[in-house]
Amino acid sequence: MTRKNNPDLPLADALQRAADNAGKPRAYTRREITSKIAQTSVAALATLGLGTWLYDRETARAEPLIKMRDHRIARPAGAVDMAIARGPDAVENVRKALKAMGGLETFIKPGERVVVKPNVGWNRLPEQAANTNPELVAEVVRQCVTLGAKEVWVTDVSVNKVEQCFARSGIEAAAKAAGAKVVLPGSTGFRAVAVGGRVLQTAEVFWPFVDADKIINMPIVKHHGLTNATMSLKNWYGVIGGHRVRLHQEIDQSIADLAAMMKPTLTILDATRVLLANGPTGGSLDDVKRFDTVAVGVDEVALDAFGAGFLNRSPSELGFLARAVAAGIGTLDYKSLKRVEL
Amino acid sequence: MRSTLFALLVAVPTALVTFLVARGTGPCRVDPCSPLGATTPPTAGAGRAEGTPGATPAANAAKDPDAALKALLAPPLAGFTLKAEAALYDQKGLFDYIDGAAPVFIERGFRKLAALELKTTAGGELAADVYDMGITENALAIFTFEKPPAAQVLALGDAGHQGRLAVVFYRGRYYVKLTAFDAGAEAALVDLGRLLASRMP
Amino acid sequence: MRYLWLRRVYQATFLALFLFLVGVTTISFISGYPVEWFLGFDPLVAIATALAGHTLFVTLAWSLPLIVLTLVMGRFFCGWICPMGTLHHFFGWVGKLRRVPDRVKLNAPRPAYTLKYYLLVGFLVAAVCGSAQIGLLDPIAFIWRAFTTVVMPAADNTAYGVYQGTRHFSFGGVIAILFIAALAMNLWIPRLYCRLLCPLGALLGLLSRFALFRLQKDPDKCKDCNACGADCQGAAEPHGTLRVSECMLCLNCQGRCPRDGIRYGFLPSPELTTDRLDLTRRRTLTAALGGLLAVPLLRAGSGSEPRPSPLRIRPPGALDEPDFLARCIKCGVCMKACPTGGLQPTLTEAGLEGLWTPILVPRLGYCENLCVLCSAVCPTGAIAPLTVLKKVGKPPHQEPVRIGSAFIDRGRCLPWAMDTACIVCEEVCPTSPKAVYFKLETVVTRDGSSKTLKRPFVDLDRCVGCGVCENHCPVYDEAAIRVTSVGESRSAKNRIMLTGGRV
Repeated sequence: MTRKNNPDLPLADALQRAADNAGKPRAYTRREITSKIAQTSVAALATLGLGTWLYDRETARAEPLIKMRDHRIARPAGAVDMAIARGPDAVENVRKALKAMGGLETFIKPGERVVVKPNVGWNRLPEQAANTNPELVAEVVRQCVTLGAKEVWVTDVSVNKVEQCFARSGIEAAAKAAGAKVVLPGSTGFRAVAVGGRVLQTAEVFWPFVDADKIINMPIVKHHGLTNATMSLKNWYGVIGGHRVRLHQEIDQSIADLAAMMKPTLTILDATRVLLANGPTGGSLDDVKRFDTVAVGVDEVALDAFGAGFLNRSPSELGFLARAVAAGIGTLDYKSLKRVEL
Repeated sequence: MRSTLFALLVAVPTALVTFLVARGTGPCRVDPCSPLGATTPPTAGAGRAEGTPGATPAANAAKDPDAALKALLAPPLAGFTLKAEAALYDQKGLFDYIDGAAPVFIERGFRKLAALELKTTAGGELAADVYDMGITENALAIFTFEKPPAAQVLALGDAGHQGRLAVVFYRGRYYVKLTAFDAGAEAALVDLGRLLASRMP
Repeated sequence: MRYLWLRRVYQATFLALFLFLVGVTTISFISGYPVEWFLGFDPLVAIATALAGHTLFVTLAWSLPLIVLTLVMGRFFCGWICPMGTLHHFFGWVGKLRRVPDRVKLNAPRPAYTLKYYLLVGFLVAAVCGSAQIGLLDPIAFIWRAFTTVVMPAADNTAYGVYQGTRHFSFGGVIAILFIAALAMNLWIPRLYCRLLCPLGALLGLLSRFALFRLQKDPDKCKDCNACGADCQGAAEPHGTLRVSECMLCLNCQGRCPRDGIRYGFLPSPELTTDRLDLTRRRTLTAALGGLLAVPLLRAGSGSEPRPSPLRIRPPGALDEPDFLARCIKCGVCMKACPTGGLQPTLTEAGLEGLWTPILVPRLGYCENLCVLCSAVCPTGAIAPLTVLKKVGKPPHQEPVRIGSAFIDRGRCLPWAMDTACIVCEEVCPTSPKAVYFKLETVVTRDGSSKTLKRPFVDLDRCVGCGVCENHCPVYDEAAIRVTSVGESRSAKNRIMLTGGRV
């Protein structure tokens, strides 16, 4: 259908061309073609780029194991290692003890994220002494908030149903009122952490313990059927999830392994009410005795050695303490430490 | 132009299919195929130059496996005297040495055997057969295959067991069978085994 | 015409290649063959597993050139290469109607054919939610599954030797019925599966909207005889405005045209081809919502995490269950490769989400100690690549890969319950030292005499769960030693022993 253009008759030429193309589909314009080619090229390059980016020879990638941070602080020479306060008012006891340690401000700096870890393992009332005293938790939270901590998380991986434990123990209400965020663990939020212990190689640790800048351990002293006693070291059972009942196969070494992994800033041992028998769950108020004592310190082993006395146990009877000493976590001879009794 | 396109349309899939099918004759998918099929070890170093003098057998095994194999059995072997220099057998020669058992080894990637007869200082006679299986997987495969179900486990090499007048173990690519010809030499088997294992990479 | 013949040669060649690769997927013949190549070449598998598993497994890199070629040339894979498509093509030809006008009507577009795009959307959203359900309808996974569990065992019943011994696959009948139904649909409407259901076809259709080369008719030559539409495989309307996303480039239109009026060329007129899909936003969103809701619904039933069936024994190297289900497309290549026939498609053992994924059924076949074939052939890395040394835990590896643990049923075991000697489980145990061991015990038998028996025990520090004990146990129906999945290396939860953690 090509015709020679006749420059003398432009109109006739145009008319003829229009007639030739009548009913014929129009061709792509140069602009459309360029755009089409560009689109296809971009799609092809994007495919190859994404493919290269996502390319993978080994789908089984071990999740990178996190290493727990050391949350301890450097203490000046001659600082008090352990403060024991006795008296009818639990809150006053912890205030006194903290003050003797140099005040919480020596441990917590403004802007830090602090996790407070009481024992909230059981669906029990405060009077039943299976969980840490909520008044103590509230006081510590309040002090942290006053000191300008950015976040104060109160959490524990409970044994009984988490919501019930936190409600019944009074800790949820007390901590919230004091200004803490109560973090209830669910089925997610656990991170794979390298323990590198003698029996525990890895553990699934609940996120606040991984993320926090400072960790305050707040155990309660009580009897435990399997390990005879549960205090500071055994309290770390509550930072991990997963299938942790397995730990009972080698409970003493497991506790020592966990304790070697966790390096808390401060430990506050609650011996206000002590469950003397049928632990760790308890239930009967006949098994509970008031000692109205709070001990604060930086050596967990020493605190546990001290706490064993409430349960009429010698520290040498507690297998996990021997393992912890072997692991270099602390000393059993708490009397050798710089200590104040109030 | 059009015939070029046609040629391309024929050539590309032909090349593709040929490539895919040719992969079948290439190295085995499964590393190793040895448990249930044959494979050749990746280190075929026949005809290479001698290993650097003074280098360990470990360093040489990949470069010159034969020299490394010989070096394993080279005197002095403390406590033992050699009756003759080690004899080497390749895949063909293996039939002369162990006859009908050879295919079992060859299927599992057998490369070379060094056979040696020795005497203890006390005069007991024993034989050492060191099979170079090319790669660890193959040594493990033949070890597992030959191990009697009730074998008495022996901590030697990567794994070992002990029977009457015999000690068997493997370490790395080497599968070793030690046989004593009299009760006097039996006690020396484990010593010899440890000596050989200590020389293996 | 010669391109039409070339297309037929392509189809025959690639179908033959597929059959060959399926055939050599056994321990005796596999040597170096890339048996899972068709799945690696499948862009839908690549995209879905990349969405679910966040990486592109090495085998699936084969799909990149296919995507690029489709972007340039159109949906040629369906018409020229796809082995499932070739089978559909063949059965469509078998059921071909005689009269051309009837065929034209049958091969015209229908609104229902948009269903495959909605299915694609739903499946891809499910993939984003971490579930590779795409394997249910992906044609390559579909045909692999059918060949593994149905076609090859059936062929084996008539001509021995396809497998090393006759195989049975759990509820293969269900897969058989679906496969036959998919093929039989062609007798009604040719390539109905491809047009209506195939999510891979839908994906390639979407990609082919970018195509720079397209089929086009020459309006000058066209006398509107409609013959081009008589055998159009994709129902792409070659006589009207060709639907690029439906066109499989089978070239039947070209072959049918009496005036040689159809050619394949660079960007024809915008008025001769169309990119339109006729999808509605409402339906697309519904499909996406369906995919979103399907995943939690599939997981809601029993057999799913966190309390799986104890019989869910995954092949060695399998990723932890959520990662596994993000990648496993239920293609069954591992089951075909397994030398003992122990790998079986699930029905309910892994929940609805895990339908047809592989588990080891030790009574049917055990996991061969030095074999890693299933991991070598897995096209998506759901079973991650293993070496033998890694599997058995020899240096440099510390721990063997465990897939479960064996337990003795003392009520069924000969030395325990019948005072009868039996050592089979210990004899066959492949670990060193053996996981099954004996304690000598002297018992008083029924007649009052005393007898010393070797009674078997399992050392869980040694047991890898291979199931050879269960497989060989002489108690024929239900073995006296049985494996369950607890203790599997891949799981941090499903464990018993404190030591011997993840590897």
